[in-house]
Amino acid sequence: MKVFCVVAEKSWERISGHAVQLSSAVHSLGRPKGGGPTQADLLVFSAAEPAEDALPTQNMQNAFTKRLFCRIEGSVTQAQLHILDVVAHVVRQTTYDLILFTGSTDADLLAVRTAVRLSGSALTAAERLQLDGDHLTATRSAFSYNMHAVCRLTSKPWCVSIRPDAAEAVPATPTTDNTGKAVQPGITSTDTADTTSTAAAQSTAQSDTEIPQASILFQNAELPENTAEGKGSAPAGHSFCTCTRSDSRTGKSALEEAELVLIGGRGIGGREALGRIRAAAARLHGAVGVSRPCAADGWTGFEDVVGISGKTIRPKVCIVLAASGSMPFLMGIRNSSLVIAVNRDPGAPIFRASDYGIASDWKDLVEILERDL
Amino acid sequence: MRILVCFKIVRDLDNVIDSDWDSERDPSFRIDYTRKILNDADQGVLEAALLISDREPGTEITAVTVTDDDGASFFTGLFAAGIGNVVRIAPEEDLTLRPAATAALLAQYAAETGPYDLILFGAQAPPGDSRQVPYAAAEMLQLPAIDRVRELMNSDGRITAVRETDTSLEEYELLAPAAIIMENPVHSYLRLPTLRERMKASGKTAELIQRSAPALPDAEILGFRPARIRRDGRMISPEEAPDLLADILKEL
Repeated sequence: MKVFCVVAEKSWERISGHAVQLSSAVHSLGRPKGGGPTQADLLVFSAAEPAEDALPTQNMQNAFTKRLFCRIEGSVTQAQLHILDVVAHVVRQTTYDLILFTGSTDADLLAVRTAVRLSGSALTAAERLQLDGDHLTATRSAFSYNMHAVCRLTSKPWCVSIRPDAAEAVPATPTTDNTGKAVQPGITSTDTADTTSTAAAQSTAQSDTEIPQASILFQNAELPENTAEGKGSAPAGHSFCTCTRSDSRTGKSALEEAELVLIGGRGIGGREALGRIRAAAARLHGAVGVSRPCAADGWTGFEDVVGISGKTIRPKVCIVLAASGSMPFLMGIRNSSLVIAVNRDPGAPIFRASDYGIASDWKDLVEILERDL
Repeated sequence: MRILVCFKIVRDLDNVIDSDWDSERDPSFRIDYTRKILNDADQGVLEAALLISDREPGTEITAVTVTDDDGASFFTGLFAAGIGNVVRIAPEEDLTLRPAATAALLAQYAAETGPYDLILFGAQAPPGDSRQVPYAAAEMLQLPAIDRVRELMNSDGRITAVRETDTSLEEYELLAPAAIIMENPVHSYLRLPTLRERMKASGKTAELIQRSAPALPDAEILGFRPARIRRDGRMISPEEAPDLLADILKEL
């Protein structure tokens, strides 16, 4: 079984994390029946030369039989046609069964376009990849994240992008430990990470040996000029778009790092109410987020959205005010240690996803937070 | 300028009863009591096209959808909002959960009736939420694509796309033609037409095209399982809340 792992990022800062995720995905595949070991090769596209700590451990380097590098001009978006040409060329030379894309925000685009180009089959945001005879199965979200679809890919090459946080999903937490002592309430989600892939990732990252120079770690993967793709490919620097502004965001936002988060749902009513919640949160050194409808209605910017289309947060305490609890929203708060929900409707779905629920007006709770507790 | 906007009519999944998700059967039949709506992700895309047209009069906008649903009320709304041409591609087979085949029909229509300066898509739509159709169609049309676009702006014949990801905020000046995939658009909702605009649009009908989709290698769906996030869910009274909060917050 041959697996081709593709990472495309403008800078090298995130690439080692992507490489870990890819190697653990390959590790968790299992072996085809009667098949030999899986060979995984890595191709990295970046605007910068390989960094010295690109694959900092021997285990990470050994996870990939071949390590290739191709320099791109500008962002991955600008260089996408060139990237697709190089990937297609390399894949045709080696007949890979599975092509994995991960991490970068362009993984879905690259996976699907590669599948069409090579007459393979595609799957985006996949979790729990497994070999099933001569097929590949994976799960992914469907019905607005209310269901998981179990999918089987048949036509090779299988072109799959891995869900970025698939290795970070919190596993099911027991309510008592093995001595029978009660532990803090946690989620009992059916949406659990594959713990073998998580363990493999941790093992790969933690092994500590001598680091060879990055310059001899990667072979160049330029497109040969005498191939059809080489003649037709967009030359470095040419693009369908010119980037006129690029503001990078490094590190996490205050919302993602806060220990206490107050979240306003559509039921709070408007921008003024949000202002009151912000004041209460500030008093307690907390942060404020919103459900998506609040941002869509213009009460605040999308940078404050918590949920599948916004941020995933991990506070110690998350207080949800007047949000009904749709699945896309719950995906953003599922990693909170403790969730307290307030909603006037005692049947609101949010209560089933909370540790404590209060069937009341959200203002009653904010009033409590405004006092000296 | 010529713009093609791809949109979808979907079930309103926010109104599905919670217990209807708790089964491993294909949910499609169990949720058909819900109303149909214009896909949330596509409202902002249609509005983006209209905003471009506001700034550049004479822009031609065609909205196309692949559906076996008559959808007349939705189409009238699109005409009333200012969309010049609405096309419904009725497939001969059921293309639910078949993004490659759906993309092929859209690409075929675009190739036959183009060229377009921009082809716009929303990022995803239920039930499949595959996030494949826009990219597959772009590849079939050999168009560059830019995704996660929050805003499109045009002036003096130039088009600018504002793209936002977890790690960056970027602005691109585009060379047409290009496929644009919008996500979390700044203007999330399609404009509401006036009564006069609705009346004027009431006589218009969508063009109907019947097609057979090519056999393409879509993933086979083996089954579904519920994605539930559950916690202890202990309900407490408002009177108990102050003591609970005091105990919890003092640990922070």
